[in-house]
Amino acid sequence: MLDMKYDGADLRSKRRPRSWIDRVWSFFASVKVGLWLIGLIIVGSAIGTIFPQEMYIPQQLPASQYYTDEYGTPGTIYYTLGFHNLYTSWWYITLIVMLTLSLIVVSIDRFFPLYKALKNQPVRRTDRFMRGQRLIGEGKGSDEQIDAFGDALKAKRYQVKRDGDALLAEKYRFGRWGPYVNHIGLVIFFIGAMLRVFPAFHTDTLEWVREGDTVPLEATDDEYYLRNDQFILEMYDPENNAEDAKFAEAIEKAGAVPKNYETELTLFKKTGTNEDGSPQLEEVDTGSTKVNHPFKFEKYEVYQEQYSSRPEFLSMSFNVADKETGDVYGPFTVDLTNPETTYDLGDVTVKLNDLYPDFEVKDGQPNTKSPRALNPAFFMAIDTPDGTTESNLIGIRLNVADEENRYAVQFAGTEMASTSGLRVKSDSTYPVLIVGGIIFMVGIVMGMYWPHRRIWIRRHGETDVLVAGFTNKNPSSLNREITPLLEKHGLPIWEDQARFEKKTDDNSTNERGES
Amino acid sequence: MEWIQWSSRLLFIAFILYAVATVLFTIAVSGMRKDRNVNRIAYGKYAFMLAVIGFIAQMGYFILRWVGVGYAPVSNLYEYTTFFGMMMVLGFLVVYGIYKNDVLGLFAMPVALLVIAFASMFSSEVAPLIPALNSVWLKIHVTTAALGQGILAISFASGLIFLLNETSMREQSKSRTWLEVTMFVLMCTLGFILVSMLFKAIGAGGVVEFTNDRGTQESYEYFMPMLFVPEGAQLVSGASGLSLELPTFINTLKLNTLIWSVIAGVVIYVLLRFVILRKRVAEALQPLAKKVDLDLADEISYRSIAIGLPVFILGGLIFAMIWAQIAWNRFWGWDPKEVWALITMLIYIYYLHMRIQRGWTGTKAAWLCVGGFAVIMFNLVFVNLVIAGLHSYA
Ligand code: HEM
Repeated sequence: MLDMKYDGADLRSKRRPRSWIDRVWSFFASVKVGLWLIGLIIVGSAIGTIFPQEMYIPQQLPASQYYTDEYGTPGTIYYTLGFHNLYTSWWYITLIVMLTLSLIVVSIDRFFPLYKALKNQPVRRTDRFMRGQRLIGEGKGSDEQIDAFGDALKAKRYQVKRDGDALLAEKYRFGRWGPYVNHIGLVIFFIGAMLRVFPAFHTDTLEWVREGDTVPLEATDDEYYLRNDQFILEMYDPENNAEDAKFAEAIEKAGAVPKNYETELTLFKKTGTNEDGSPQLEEVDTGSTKVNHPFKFEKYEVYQEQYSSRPEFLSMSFNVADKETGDVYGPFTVDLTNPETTYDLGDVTVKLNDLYPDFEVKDGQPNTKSPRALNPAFFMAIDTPDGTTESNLIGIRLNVADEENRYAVQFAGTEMASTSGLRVKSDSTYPVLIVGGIIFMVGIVMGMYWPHRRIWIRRHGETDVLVAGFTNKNPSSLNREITPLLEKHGLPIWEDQARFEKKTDDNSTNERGES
Repeated sequence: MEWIQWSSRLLFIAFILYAVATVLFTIAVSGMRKDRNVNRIAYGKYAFMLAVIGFIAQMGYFILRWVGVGYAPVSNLYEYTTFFGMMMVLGFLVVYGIYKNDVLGLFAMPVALLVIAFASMFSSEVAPLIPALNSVWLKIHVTTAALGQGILAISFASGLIFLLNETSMREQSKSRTWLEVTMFVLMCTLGFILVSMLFKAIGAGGVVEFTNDRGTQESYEYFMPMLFVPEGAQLVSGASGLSLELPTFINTLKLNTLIWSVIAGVVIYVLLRFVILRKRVAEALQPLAKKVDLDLADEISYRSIAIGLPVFILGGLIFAMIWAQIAWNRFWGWDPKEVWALITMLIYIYYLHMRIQRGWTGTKAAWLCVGGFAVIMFNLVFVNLVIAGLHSYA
């Protein structure tokens, strides 16, 4: 049997290599090389899942220490070999690049010969050609029988051509282009993925926005501003919500389970700058972003990625009480985003000497852990009518003051706000990836669901008939489609020349050469 | 709650129907004439009909559970694995529709049964859906991926048929050894199911508390008698008896389950091999596999891969990327589950390209079908339970 996949066409890669270009070409056009590449990518990819990649490890520890601490010697080896960043390693990328080259070369190498071979298909084929096919039958038959058989094939949506004593019936030729289409789609996809290496093609920033705040979006070069109107965190509530009642048992076990994270927001566009340097903003859109439903504008997408589980304080209100008389002064309100330094309450005046938004004591000194108002504490000085000054350190569950003091600061209320972590992204490689992906998928479907089938008949002399069949997949299905027709019209029945040989005894192991 | 009880009943009915269908396929194949792959006895037809009715019952399970929980029931290991079993049955029905081959039923249905029984070992409790999983893309991605895997899994059945058919049982060979290993792994899965049911029924197991690597208190709830416990574990309930203490970085709970499954697998295997069959398990199955000729077995493998792979690529990779982009704002993150989906695709791509090479079909290709199924199961079981990533349902 001959290799009839490309009707015996001449492939550049199969010629004897002459120059080094030919050698490189043959290398990348070789399916064996392709198999090696795919195999190595499988093994490499699998290794990368043995331990977590660096991007997934907790950030408190440096990687060099983490892998050893957590996984002992195997971890150290893993880290030393660079497997903690395997998918961006030079060798993994090289494999992908070689695969891409291979896809390009093999497709060019085979496409044109195949195209030519299928385009100019003679109906009359040589005996040698026909006997080279997988399905072949010889016997007796007449022109009438061949005609009737041709009509039967037409009913099965074959395209049937006659040329004197010969017949060619063909179906689903376009399925043959499937592999080429899918390979090209894949190449486009890989190119898209490689473009992402250049920062110019995408932007990606995380913005922390407190409820009520309006922030410029760095990803848009401050052209757009977002206001967080409200952050919504909903929990499953089996007691009050009939819908959720069925989950009561599971929630009992797991504790509170969140149902929805959502930020309602307003989008502004900057139209100019005011005299005081503040931006002039024009409202463009309102909407919301929640998990699985990003907010979109222009080419940007805003994702609800995180939220601060501890809301921030917007403002805190206090009273000042006179311990002797019981008189109460105030309340006054400290706006934490824009605190004033003095609060005049009539008889007494409060001075805000120091503010720690996220208070802690470090090395015996007051300190702030972060600039966010999570746990504010204040140094307040009270100017009394007697002309003395009493100092207080006030915070949440914190009130440090002299016992002798006449005045005491009391909490009168707080106003809190949640903070959303919004991921603002744009990526101009998406269209390339999407186009590549679609072409790839179309090619796969084309190639896999439409098997190319061809049937040739040729009459020699008056009654000698040769029947041959080709398919690029599922010969027994072709057999089941055509054999009954051959039988019905009295034409020779064909045999599959490439069957796994029937075993005469159990010890023989046979493999066939596939075309 | 009503809905969910009814859905469980339907699932049970489906399971029984599949089991009866398997028995009928066995009878059909035993009485099959060796030549021509043609079966003149109607048992195969009845078996197929039962499988169809079973599938409809299982669809009923799926729909009722959907109504009951309020979201597509593919969002934890129990639901997903059950659905995967159902898709395997669907894959079988599709391929059976093309080739009408009873031997395929004899090999494919037990594997699907095993998968569904395995699923029932996970907690079927109704749990609320977290926001990240609350998306239409979850339904689309998971159902299509499972359908693809279900069809691909049929190539495992036909691959086994091919290998059983063509491996000589009289002579030592790699194929003969690995076939027996494959049988043993299937026995261990069965063993896991049986011991889980047994120990749950008699209430063996217990709870221990211990200090883990990070210095915090943790407790393990055992459902099987404790063979292994963490170093310094305190017994809270149950009996520890003969337990062995192991360093705390080893998850003794999972190890315990694994070892019990292997013990049960060994017991089943030894019983079959030395008491019931008195020969290799593969050897006992060989006469049944021989009722299909090699070409047909090989073509069924290729066909189910040709049908299943595009579905899998669409669901397991393309829809997965779309969803990952929407939910996690990156379409690809090299999370273990994603990587193993990619590996699944590449294994079958390797298979297809191998067939282009002359002389690389046959045994090697059939082994790749077995390997492909191993990767699918690995991604389902191991990646979910052991390598915890973003996708982890646990
Ligand atoms: C991940 C990468 C690849 C994918 C997804 C892919 C996909 C495919 C598919 C689905 C087919 C159709 C197979 C069939 O009909 O049985 C195919 C055919 C083919 N592939 Fe690939 N392929 C890949 C890489 C490669 C590489 C690296 C090479 C080359 C060395 C290659 C060479 C071929 C050839 C020669 C064919 C047959 C073409 C024909 O039938 O005319 N492929 N490919």
